[in-house]
Amino acid sequence: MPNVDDVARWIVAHDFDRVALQLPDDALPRAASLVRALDAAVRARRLEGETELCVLADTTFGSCCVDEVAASHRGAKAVVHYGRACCSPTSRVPARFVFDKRAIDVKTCARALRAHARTLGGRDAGTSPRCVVAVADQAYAHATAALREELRRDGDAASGVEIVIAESTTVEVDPRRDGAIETRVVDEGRERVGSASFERPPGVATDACAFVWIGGAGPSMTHAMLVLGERAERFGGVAQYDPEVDDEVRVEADGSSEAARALKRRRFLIAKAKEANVVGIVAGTLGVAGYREMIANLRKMIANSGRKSYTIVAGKPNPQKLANFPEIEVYIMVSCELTALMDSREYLQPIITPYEASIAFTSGKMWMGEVKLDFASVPKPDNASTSAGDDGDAGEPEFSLISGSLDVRNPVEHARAMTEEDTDAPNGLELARRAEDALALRASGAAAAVVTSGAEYLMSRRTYVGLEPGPKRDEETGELADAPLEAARGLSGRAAGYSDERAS
Amino acid sequence: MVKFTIDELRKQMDHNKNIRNMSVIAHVDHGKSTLTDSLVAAAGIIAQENAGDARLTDTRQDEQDRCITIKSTGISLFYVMDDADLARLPKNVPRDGNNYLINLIDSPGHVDFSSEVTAALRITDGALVVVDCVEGVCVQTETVLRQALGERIKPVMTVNKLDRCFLELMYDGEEAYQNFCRVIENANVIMATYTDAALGDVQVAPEKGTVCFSAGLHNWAFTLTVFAKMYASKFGVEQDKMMEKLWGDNFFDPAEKKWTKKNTGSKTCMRAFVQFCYEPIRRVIDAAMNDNKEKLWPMLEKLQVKEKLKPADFDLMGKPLMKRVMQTWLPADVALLEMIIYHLPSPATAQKYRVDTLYEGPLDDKYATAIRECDANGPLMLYVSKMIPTADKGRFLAFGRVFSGTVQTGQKVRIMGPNYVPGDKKDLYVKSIQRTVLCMGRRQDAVDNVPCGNTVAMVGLDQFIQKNATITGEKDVDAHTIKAMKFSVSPVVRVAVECKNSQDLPKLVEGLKRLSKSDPMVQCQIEETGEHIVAGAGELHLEICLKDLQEDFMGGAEIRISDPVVSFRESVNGTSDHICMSKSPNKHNRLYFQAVAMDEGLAEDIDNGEVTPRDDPKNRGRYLADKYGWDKDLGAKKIWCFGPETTGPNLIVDMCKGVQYLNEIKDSCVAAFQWATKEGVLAEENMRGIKFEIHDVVLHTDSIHRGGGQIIPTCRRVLYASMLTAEPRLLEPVYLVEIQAPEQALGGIYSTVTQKRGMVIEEVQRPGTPIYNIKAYLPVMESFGFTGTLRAATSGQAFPQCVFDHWDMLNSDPLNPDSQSGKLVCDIRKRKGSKPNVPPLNEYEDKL
Repeated sequence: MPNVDDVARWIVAHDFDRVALQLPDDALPRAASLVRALDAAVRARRLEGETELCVLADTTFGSCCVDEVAASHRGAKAVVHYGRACCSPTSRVPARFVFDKRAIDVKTCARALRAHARTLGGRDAGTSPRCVVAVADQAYAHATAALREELRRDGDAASGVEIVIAESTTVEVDPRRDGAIETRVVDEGRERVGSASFERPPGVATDACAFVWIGGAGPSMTHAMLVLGERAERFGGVAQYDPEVDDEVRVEADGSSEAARALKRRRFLIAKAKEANVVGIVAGTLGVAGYREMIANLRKMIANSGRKSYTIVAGKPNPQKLANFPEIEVYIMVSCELTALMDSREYLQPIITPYEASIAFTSGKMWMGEVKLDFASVPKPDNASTSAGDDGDAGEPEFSLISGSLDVRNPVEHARAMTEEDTDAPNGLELARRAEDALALRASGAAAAVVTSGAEYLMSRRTYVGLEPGPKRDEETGELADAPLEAARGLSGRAAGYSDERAS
Repeated sequence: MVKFTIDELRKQMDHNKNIRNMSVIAHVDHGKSTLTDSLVAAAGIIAQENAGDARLTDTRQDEQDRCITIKSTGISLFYVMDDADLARLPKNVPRDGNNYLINLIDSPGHVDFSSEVTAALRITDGALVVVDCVEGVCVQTETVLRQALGERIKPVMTVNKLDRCFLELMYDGEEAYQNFCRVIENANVIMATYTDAALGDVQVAPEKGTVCFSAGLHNWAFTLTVFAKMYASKFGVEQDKMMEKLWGDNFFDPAEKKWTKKNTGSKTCMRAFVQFCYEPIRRVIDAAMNDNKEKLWPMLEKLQVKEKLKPADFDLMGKPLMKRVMQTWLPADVALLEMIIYHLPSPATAQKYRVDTLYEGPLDDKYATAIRECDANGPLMLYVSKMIPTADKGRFLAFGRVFSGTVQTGQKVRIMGPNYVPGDKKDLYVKSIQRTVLCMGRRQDAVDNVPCGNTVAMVGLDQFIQKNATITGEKDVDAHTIKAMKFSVSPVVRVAVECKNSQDLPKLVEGLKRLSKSDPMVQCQIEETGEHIVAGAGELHLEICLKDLQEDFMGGAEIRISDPVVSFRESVNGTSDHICMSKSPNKHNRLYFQAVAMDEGLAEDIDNGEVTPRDDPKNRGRYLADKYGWDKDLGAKKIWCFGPETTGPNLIVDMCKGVQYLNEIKDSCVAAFQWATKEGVLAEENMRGIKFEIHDVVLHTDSIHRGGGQIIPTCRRVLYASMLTAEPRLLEPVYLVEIQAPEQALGGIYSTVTQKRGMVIEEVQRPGTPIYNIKAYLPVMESFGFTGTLRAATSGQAFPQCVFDHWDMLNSDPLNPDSQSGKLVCDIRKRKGSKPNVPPLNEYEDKL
């Protein structure tokens, strides 16, 4: 059993009395033997007390995340996470990650990297990079040190191109130490790509770096390439070295790679989100540190932009679950970095990341192709509502690339109109009035009235609204047959004695 | 040498009986812009000498370079007429003094820019139809005429390029007459086809004075009135009588001094038109061209032209002399102006019958009344038909027509966009007009206000109007919009654009926004794939748009342009071979559907708005029952929805009987239907012409288990399954191509058309000429570079005009990856980043 000793040492050092082991589904058969080995190792080291080990057999969200909720059910004080991990900081329980290990021939890899660097360095000045950054799949993280050593040993400065190996830094996270997103230190010199990070050699600009992916093609690679965005292809195309098949770095020159296409698709999703009035925030995690602040910030941001938001917790999201809310026009996925980029055509509505939402919902902002998945990169909403027309004129409509014309919805204007009306009609008849308007419109055949909340959607778009949801309607015309009742304040307090009864 | 001031012009605007709003329309290269110059010259904006060369209304450099008009351009002209000129004004034409204001719009002739013509027609009341006397009525003449009559625009016609008859073709009188006759008759046939009772008689005839004969290039023209006036006194008959004699089968024998209805066969007997109009002109032209001044001067003296010539003119030789003489004798502006003022309606007249086709709202409200009365004191109703880029980069003028009321500088107005629904806040803005200006070709002049019946351009509204809008006063909250324009062309040619440098992305987006504003037709969109798409009516249109995008709207930032991409449609050729069933993810609900190819013609009816979701269900039911033999109830009550976009040419129809909870899942099915029809199963293209029938549904009794989440994905799957089982097919867009070429080019045309998978459907020789008119169908996919190939194959003698005509079914099976449509599907799927093959049926259909 690899790493058993390390893990045992970690458990003993922190004196956890109950530890949960989280394994990927396909590794569950090995769970029993793993527990036995670990238990033995811990016992051997422990002088006093006992550590109880348990195995989490299912995960609430993605299997890459530490499932804090499940662990808390057992009262576990720490989690050991095996397999592919997003390494997101946790919010309650400390966790340690144990990555898969795959074999890699360090010598061949080093040779391939050096050859690649030489090819790139041999190009004309201006088109050649200053350094080559190799980003390795988690499964090869164990070999990064050896690889660095190998490269350093027979150093080859002739090419003039430095080779940097990104390292998988995070093997353990501790909420007590890492804290919430506000306090997390952003290390200026280091750049993160997924769970790996690297430091650029002094004096090398961001766009002078070429990148090589070490590992097989798959979601991890796509993810890394998306995060790097355009930079991944800057020097001739996406470069990849797969230790299991290759003995040199392959460069895919054709620009229509999976990542490039996915990146373009994000642009469409953001454009689509700009037009949404009703937004759903999907809590795709209950563990990643700062998710609560994130959701609160998003809500505020959405409200500031004049839109309506609903927050949904639906476990691991799938098309069936999210299609239950047709009134929601776009979803924002609050989750760990690896599961954040969801784009399957199977979903009825687009799903975007919080960072993308911050672009879509800030008028005038434009997406430049950058993918930022950590919560820290999402700007905090201002407290003041977005400027609702300084000179009292209606806000300028934005050009919508979806319809190819001006965006017919005018959220700022609308938000202002709503607040004005609210003060006019404090008795809560506003919704009823709007619903009536919407109904009148539907009766007159104009189907596409703007819907700004779920309740309006129910009234104006749905033809079936349940048995007796409110005022009766005429079957043929859809007109109101009796007037809506004014909402009245009910009794309050406990049934044994309502507050007003006690007074008398 | 501007003869009038803006103040005079502005004053004239109040006299709406003396205003004519007109557009000049014609086939490409029939001489619209050149003829327009003649009118402009007479108004004193450009020097008389330059008329015919300046093309004042071609304001863009590329228009000047290519010698074609691309954008329609407005110009306001002011004329002071003599009493004598107006003496014969028909009694029923109201008149208000001798000053006339003509708001003229010159429009492009190439089919690709038809949308510009549409925008021009909307804001005018009359049209000057220019027809080349040699080429005759061409495809674009027909298209624009049809549009004009649809908008209730009254036409007058000019047979242009008469100089070609004399100089190039050397027609003798009778030949020329027959030729003119044919041209006029062809035009009248078209007008008769699209005639509209409200507009009255629109047939044109020389003897009525509604046809003019002109030579735009040489700046002369005449109507029969000119000659009638001349001969009336000589023969001692009424001028009107003389007019009638000058056209048609009226012959005169000067030897016997006798009129006959037939050619007597005598040598001196000639048709009156030839005798009195054509021959004198020919003699003058011949004499002038051959410098035969001994013959010329006496003739001119007799015509009272000689005394009008300037001393310098006597030294001219050859063509310049001819031009000068003809201009003096038969000045183009006089003939044209007379025709325009006499026979085109003033706004006051035209708006009476145009209001029904213009106003969306009830025709008895105060806005409709104000439009009908052309009331300058009524509520403001203004239609912005196009946006004109200004010298100030990125800003636009909103150009349109005031239909009622008066628009003021600084006035606060309501701007109602095309998606505005009365009573809603959508697409509605309140904003002040910074300035109102008049368009004078290349320059603009500010005025304080503009009353109804005139064209106007406005500054300061451009952020709120994308392409067109209706503008009313701030307080007129119950006004409806003016109807949206209907275009005769559609944007079928598409390219993807991206910037070479990703830092330029904001420039690209801003550029696309401006491009979309500057052209009534172009579409700038972002595709599902995230590509930025620019779609235009044809190759030329797209070329101009992309040039504008790069040079004017993006400040020269470099862009990459993909090869043209054609959008396809997905359809079916039969009925699903069995009823398809899909189960919901929880296995508790089952949907049974079938796809059926729509009755032939129904998809087109939906496109044309004959059958729409907004129809009264009973009328729709009757229409479908009468025309397509549908069950009445089916058409009236059982159509759940149209799609995609709730208006498209696909239907979902409920065929179930007595199914419980069906009404509860309707919304979910409609949502799934919209989704599926937008992204078809074959290549994620729109569907077209498919009717989906719901045969049965089995639903879980507990409503939580039949929510949208269960039904929407399932319904989408069953729609796909039923489509896959009903012989799915791809539809490709097809152009109607019209080619004019001489006989020797026919071989080249046929081989090029065949080579491009096209089909010639008509070949007609233009009577009396060696020119052939060929009509053919050509797949849009094959049309790229067609013009070039055709020109190469015919040594430049054939010039095609392509206009989108219909969708054509590709007969091969797209599910077979080796077939032609299979390969197309595969290519599209690859471009969109989906798996290359269409998913198999079992991915969508379930077994019981």
